[in-house]
Amino acid sequence: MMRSGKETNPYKQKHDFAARSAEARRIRKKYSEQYPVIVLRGKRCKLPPLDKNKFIVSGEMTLAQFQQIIRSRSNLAASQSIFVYVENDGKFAIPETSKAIRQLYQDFGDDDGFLYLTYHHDDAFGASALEM
Amino acid sequence: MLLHIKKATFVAFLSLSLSLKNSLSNQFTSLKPIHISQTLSLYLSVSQTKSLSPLHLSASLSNQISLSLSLSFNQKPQCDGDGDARAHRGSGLPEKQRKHLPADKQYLQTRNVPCFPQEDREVEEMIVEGSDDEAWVATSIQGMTDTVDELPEEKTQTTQAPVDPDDLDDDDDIPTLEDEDYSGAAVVDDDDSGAAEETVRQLRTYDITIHYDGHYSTPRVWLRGYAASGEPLQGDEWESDFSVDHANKTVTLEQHPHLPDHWVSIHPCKHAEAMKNMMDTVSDGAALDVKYYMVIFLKFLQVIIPSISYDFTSSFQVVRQMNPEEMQAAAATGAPAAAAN
Repeated sequence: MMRSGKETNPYKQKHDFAARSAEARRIRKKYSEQYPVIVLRGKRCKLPPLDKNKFIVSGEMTLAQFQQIIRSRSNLAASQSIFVYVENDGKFAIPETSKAIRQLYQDFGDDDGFLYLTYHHDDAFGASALEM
Repeated sequence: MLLHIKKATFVAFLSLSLSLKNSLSNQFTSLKPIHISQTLSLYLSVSQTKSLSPLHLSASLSNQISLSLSLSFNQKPQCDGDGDARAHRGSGLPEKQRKHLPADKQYLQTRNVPCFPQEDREVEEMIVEGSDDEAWVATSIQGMTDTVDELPEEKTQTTQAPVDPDDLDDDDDIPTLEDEDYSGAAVVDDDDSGAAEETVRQLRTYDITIHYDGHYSTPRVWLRGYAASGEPLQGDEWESDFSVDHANKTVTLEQHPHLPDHWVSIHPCKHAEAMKNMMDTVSDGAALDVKYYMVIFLKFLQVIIPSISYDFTSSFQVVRQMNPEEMQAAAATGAPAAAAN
């Protein structure tokens, strides 16, 4: 697949394609029905980075549920919300949160065998209506 | 510096969205990439927070990109309204019409949207391999069943059907797209359709309407919940379906602008700001086609009401305009612009 521009995915910067696909194959073989997911922080996201960003996720977990996991690991204030999207190889998609990880992996998985998900938070989503 | 859209434009834009028949595929592979740069001058520049104009809309109209929104406009109110609230469920009260909008384009609606309760399931996490920041964390959810994640997928498939305004008749029990979805959901040729049917019966449903809020220049969303029996939810029963972060803060019970009852409303005071933020994230600072406004708005709502699976939109893809440095880099390496796929 043709790639244009600079690689901005830090995981891809750190590991070359061969290493990534070998690792992804190993995980897929070892954990059937579970999928390797790399969670990235959106470029404009002001939250501190997650301490862990490599997840082995049960295929039937929905994106909404996985979003909760990211949420709980990012120490968000109650008023902050996050949303998760796919941003990979210059492509961008916001999947339905009801989709299972298995489906996302099939639809949006990278050639290297990982599914890359990016999160972003927004204070305004959860803003109280004090200014009404 | 907020993203506002003008009233007439909003309505015209919604008409546009609804008239597009082809559904958007939810897979990268079968999607036509959208090259934003091609028609840049006609598009809304989100980063400069321009308002929408009719020019933008006619440009969008001729665009082949289609959206799949299972929303429809309200119906024309019946003149012989006898004051029965149910008679107005699909049309709004004649006396509450806004004169500057056509009678059958007062607001958008979708009905009988299933609500999947947000259960507090225990999440299990453990580090299975490695240490430090290269460790793999295995996650799973306790007591997960297949039933819940089967249904939304069926919905996704069935909502791809185009909205045909001719399908709407003037009876109260209008066979809206959503009705069909749910009768459809119960008879799908699925292995466990029995279980699925059972789940549908036990679910609350919501009617959703969206109207244009003139004060905040954004869409405003109203929801009304019904128990599995079909009776409207009473008192504060709705609160459990909204995230605790929002219930009674951004989300409150108020008089509906077109209908006789109190509905749950998401206050729009932060919509413009949140939309700008979200569109900036989506477009990464580049211009974004105005046709995405409602799709992104609906995605944004999902954050506030995760349990109500109204997601009328499929996943969608944007191929961003390249910034000037990337253009140069691409030219230098001989790569065609935006050859991401």
